[in-house]
Amino acid sequence: MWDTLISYCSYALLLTGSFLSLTFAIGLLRFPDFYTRMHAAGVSDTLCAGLIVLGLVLQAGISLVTLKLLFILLFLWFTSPTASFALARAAHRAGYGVNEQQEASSSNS
Amino acid sequence: MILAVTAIALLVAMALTLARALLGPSIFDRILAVNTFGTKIVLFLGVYGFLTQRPDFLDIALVYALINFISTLAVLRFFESGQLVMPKDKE
Amino acid sequence: MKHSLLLTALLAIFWLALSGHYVAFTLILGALSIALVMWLNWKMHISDERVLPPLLLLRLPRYWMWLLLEIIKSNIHVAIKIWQPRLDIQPQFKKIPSPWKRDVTRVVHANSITLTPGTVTVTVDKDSFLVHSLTDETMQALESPEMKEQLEKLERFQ
Repeated sequence: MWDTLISYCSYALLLTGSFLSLTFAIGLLRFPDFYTRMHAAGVSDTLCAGLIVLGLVLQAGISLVTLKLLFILLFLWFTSPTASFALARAAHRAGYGVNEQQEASSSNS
Repeated sequence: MILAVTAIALLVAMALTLARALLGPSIFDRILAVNTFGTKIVLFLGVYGFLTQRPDFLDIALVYALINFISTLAVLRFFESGQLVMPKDKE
Repeated sequence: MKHSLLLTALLAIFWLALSGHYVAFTLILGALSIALVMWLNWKMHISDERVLPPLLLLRLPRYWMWLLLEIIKSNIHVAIKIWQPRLDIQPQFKKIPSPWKRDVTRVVHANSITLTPGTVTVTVDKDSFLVHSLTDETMQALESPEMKEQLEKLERFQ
């Protein structure tokens, strides 16, 4: 009984995570300019990774595998904002300013 | 079954991300796509490890997560300054 | 010094948890790599109280719980925006004040903004961040008094 409940929870988490990862990929293709695409990437890096890893944790039970999964999640959550920030700052420095962005969004809509 | 569905969804998402990396148009779009592609690979490795009942894949995923982060920073630094080693008197 | 000892202990636990094989060879490799990391830390001068105040570690989990809720909320918001047939987004830049004295609080603030989908920190200045936001709503969430309150609590706990 308990086991079935846990495995259904894990399936729900995995499926929601997969759906979010597809959502993000479509956003990455759909959004008009670099900065908005970056927001689409944010969807994947935070909640999508969290849901999929938690789904796997529920399947693994309490073991060394669970610990490794949690470490993977921790690394992803600590490194992804730093990488995103470095990327945004580099783009800003390279002159990806407000003007280009407004042009891009008006030409695509 | 559900694991296989998750793996396929991740693969499709990876293909779409790769399309963005190929389309560009700017170098930053490509780096962003490659970085998120790496995140997807980490998740895929984890799911694949469970799918094939081989938890060893998790170690690879762990290492990949770290290498992905460092490689993104290295590539960015290279495109910002044209060299991998920064001059010492920057601070 | 106290800080270095704490870090060494954490690294040792980390290695033991990940390796899973407890024979002499892997243990020696672990000791060597911990020594290497500590040497690099010492060389970069990043192993002291300023980087990670121990009191903050006690407070952070509660902050993370709050942040997690915010992340889930804005994730749903951005996901809806992506699936809408007509793109309804208002991309915008804005300066957000960040009047924190401690570096750690500012790092947490900037990273929280980036972690929340729909907003990205673009540049960090002395007392403000330049933030890019996907829609008006995500920008409003950043300027809410709730976020300020949470960060003030973090600042006090150092």
